[in-house]
Amino acid sequence: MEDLSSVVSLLTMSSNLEHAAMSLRKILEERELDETETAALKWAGEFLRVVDWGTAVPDAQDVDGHVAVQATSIRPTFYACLFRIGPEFKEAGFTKESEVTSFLGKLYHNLEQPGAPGRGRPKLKATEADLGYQLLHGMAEALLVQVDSNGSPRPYTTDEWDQTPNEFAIASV
Amino acid sequence: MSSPSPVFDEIAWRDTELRREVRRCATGLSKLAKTIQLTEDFITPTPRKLAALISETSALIAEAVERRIPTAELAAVNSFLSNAALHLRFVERARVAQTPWSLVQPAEELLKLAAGQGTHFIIRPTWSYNYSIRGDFWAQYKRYLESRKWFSLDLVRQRADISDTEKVYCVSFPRIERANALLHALWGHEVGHILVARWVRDTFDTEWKKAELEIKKKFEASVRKSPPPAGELFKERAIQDEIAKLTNATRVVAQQGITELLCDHVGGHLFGPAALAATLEFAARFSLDAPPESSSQNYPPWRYRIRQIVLSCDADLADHAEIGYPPPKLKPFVEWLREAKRIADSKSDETLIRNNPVTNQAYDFITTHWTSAATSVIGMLPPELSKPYRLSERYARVVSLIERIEQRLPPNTVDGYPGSPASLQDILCAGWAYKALQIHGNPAWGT
Repeated sequence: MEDLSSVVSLLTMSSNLEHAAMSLRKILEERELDETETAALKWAGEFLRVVDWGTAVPDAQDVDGHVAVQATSIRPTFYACLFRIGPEFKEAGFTKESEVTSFLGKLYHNLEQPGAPGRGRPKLKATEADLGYQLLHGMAEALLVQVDSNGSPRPYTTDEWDQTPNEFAIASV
Repeated sequence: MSSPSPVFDEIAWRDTELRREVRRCATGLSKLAKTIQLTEDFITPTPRKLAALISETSALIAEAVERRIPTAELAAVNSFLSNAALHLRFVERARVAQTPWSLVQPAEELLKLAAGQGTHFIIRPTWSYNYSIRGDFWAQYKRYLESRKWFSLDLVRQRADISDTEKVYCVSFPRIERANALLHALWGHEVGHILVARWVRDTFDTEWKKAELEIKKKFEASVRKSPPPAGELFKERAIQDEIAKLTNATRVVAQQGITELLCDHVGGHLFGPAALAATLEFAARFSLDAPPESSSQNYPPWRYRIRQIVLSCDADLADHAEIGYPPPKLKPFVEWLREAKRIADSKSDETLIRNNPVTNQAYDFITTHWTSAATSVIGMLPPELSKPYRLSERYARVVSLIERIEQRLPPNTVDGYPGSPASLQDILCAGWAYKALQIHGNPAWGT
């Protein structure tokens, strides 16, 4: 039964991440965010903080069990998407991993509190917002691919195919 | 932003195209589902219920596409519709001609009793050689759609005439086994999935969170010894990625493993030796020791599963001379089932599990949580089913059903005419015992 449940989780996470990605664009264009977009940004910031082992979560023990499992399942996708935009990081002038870590911390903070940068956490610059957009949008698409194989035929041996998004298997004998 | 160019706005292009396509597909799916709902013949109302749910949900999505669905959600909505379209095949394959119609109603009654009233089952054949359960469709549709501000679940409730206490599942069985009622004892395992899903939701996540840190530490030590190649920007994160993959693989194996084993436990509890017999016959086709990995969809080895079911019905495999168990008509069946104990005695499956760090840690997790999980899942059954089925306690009834089969009478009643209706569990046990009795006399029987 994991198939349906995990499909729904992936669709929901993908939608939220895509909302957050598009909202980052709106912030950069200084357009107003609606309630859904603000909520999506906040969710993305809090969730990515749990997912990214490179930015320590101060109260990891407070994370809900369900969120912890979602984070475990999505973490490989997060790293894959991050590595995929490595060339863009270099193009933007990043040379050390500590700079990436610092940028990601700043990104999560901006997502959690859109339009209200705190002390030492200034607003994202245009190139940073672009990197943030690419990361979030890339993750949103990667999660959808796990549901729909990006339109390509699934390997099958019968008239049925068994979904295995995120390596979840169907419930059978 | 780097993605859209000033001369061609790719996001706008996609929005236009996808919006039109989603609307067209949602409308088409709604009509198709409605046609199937109204024109096909089914044994129970459940297939029509799912068709109505798909039809009304798609129609409401079609109505919302033009103005209300945000661009950011269109691709996911398209995927949602593609999945809902796949669910129509469950409806279509549940037509009267496709199903073991004489078994569907009693089976649905037992499944409902185990899973709770308000639960509906579609029972349908599948071409793949597999038993499976999918659902609850309504709960999952709600889960996705309830946070979509542009969608009204209330309208679906009204139009599809479905309440929040209802659940809709589909149980599949191999098409070539349509008439082989004995193998359908595996439905006990499938209904177990409904209960085990509750345990996973309520308990697994919390227990996993507690265990994950230690699991991660163990992998970290080995990954740091030979870190993966990486450039300057992602040296540490490449290590984290490797650990994350191993940790997630462990979670998948642990979750899949404990789920399947708990479902076997429920099957053994509900159907006793019939469940063991069906599992043995099913497993004989495959490798008994194939370890839990992605090629086997992370399922536990068959030998491991057989061992767990043997534990569930151990009492029925023993001799109880003081009560004359097993009687002569059951002896070949019990003897045949004892082969399961000999299969379980070998530990070749466990050796393979322990040789792989991922499966080793996953099965440590399973072992740690097994007793409390099994108790908790059995505790979810209604009082009528809280006691395990014991052939050794019901053998007189089962023998009387075997005698009816020998007389070519349906094994559906006990205590003579008109008697009282036999339980599905007794019927299946009698069927298996009769089969074993015949094979004992003639090994080629039934082939």
